Amino acid sequence: VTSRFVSTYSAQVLDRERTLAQSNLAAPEVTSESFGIMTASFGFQAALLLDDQGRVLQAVPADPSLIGKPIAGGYQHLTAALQGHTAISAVVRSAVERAPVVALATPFETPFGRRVFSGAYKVADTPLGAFLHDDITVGNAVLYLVDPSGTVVASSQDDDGAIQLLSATQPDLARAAVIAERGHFQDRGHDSYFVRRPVAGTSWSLLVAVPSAGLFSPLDSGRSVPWIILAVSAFLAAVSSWMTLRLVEARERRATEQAAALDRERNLVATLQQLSQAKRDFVDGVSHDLRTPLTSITGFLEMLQDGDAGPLDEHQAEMVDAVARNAARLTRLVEDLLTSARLDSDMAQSEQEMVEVSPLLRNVWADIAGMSVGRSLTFDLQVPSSVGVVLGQAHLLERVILNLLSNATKFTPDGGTITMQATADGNTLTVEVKDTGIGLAPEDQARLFQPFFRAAPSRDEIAGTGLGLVVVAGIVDQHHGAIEVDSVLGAGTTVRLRLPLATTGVPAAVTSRR
Amino acid sequence: VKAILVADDDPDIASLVAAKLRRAGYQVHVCDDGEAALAAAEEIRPDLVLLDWTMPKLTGLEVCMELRSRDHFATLSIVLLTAKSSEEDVQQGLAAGANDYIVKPFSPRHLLARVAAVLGHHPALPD
Repeated sequence: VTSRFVSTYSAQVLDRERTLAQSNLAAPEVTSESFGIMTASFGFQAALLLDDQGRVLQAVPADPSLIGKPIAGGYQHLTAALQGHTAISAVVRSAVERAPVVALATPFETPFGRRVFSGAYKVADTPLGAFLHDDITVGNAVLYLVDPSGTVVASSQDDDGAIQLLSATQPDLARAAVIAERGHFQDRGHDSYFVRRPVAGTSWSLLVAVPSAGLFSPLDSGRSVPWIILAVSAFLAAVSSWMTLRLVEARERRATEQAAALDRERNLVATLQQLSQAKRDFVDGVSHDLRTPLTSITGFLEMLQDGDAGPLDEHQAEMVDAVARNAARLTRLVEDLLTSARLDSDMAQSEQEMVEVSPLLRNVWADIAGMSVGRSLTFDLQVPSSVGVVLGQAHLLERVILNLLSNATKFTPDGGTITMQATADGNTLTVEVKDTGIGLAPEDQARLFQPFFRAAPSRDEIAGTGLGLVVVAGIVDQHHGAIEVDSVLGAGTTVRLRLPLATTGVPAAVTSRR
Repeated sequence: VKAILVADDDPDIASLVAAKLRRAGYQVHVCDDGEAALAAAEEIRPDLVLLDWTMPKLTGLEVCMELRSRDHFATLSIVLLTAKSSEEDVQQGLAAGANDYIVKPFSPRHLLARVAAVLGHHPALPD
């Protein structure tokens, strides 16, 4: 097995793959799925991934019995790769397709130690395969594939005429092949005549050698030599262009496949964009169609209640009030549904901005406090004047705080306290909304973020749709944040919101109390 | 008496708005598409136009821009009345020349207050 073959072949074929492998295989854990995809995309028929102890991490075709076990059989190319060298195996018959394969093992360094990626090619898919094709035989001629330094990469010289990789160079051939396109050299003790042709698309040459003895003995010297040389030359030209064609074909096929894959990807992206736009259009349409009748219903009801159509008697007023209450409930439901439906496309289509958190929290706080006039609640705001900046959409973040604070006031009876606190720790913003309200049973806490879920005690007494926290969770998720709830039934609820900060503010604790 | 032109293709909403405004003492004209709104505006020269955004023939936004492009309507009060509620919609509506923007569903009481404010009539202040 020549290291020359490895260096030329791997440099040409594996350059791009090596970079890709480095990034794909350096993960702490390479999954069976990702390894399978990578193996297929490189065109390997089979592949192994080893750790620095030579234990199998992944195998294609997948074989659970191999995982975690050291490789058996003393494969030299794997041993060499574990020591940090790129190495190629001898040609072996593949157990999978019963075709000759040659395996290339590449070491790469990862944060988790050295790993070895070894993929097996079908020989027929390599230049070697083309070179060693059955058709290429000419009497007692020997074919050599040589690299630019004259080192033999492979030769057809073998007992049964099959592929053979040479491990030793032939200094005489090397000298001759580098200097001349034709000439004589000593081939294993015999004087041979050779002709050399480049293989286009590679740095290699193809060389045909005919023993001088074979060239002359059966023939009348003087007349026949030029004919033989001509025949060998013509043959070599044919083989060389045939190999070139095979290589170019393989390259074009690869380019076509890549272009097709790129096309498929582009189409997928376009389809997804269309779907997102279609969803947006649909939500807009539904929104218009739901709001229009609601406008007439709630509008005329208000006029009836205001006595714009004449005074109502007590019984009529009660009925109209009941209708109005339910119309208002329906309106809230529609608004929450539409907000939740529009979230995805909103985030996808609107621009992100730098949102100064403290003023946003204070504004929403003021709105909620204003809306709670007439309730006897204590409001405790603990937000520094500048707690930092979050990358996102202000109106969506406002909606999160509004929903959390409005829940806190709704579920806290008179006499209770609502606290909002904001702190920055490193790159994380934490906003805590705490109430001394009715709280939640443990089994209800898990279901809080399910659409339309409402905890039993509040279901009939407190207005709501069961969508507020669904919207909150959606927005927080879109902003790469997290939310958690601590609650004790009868004692109160704390909702903790964490968001990544774009910049950190001045850590000055400013407290205002009302 | 201030004259108000109401353009909305939903007859119930048009009559709701008209009823509330008439009760408050305004003189109200109603039409149900964008082209009719333009023609009626030329004919009656109202003090204020209430435009639905989504209307046949011409949208409320197009009517608004067309009115603003005519010199004699440069100072006309225009209010958009629409189910389109996103931030971008509101900005687009105001950028097109509307003085105010009211989102459906709305409270008729609230609508009346906004109309009065746009017309510069503030009942709580001494004259």
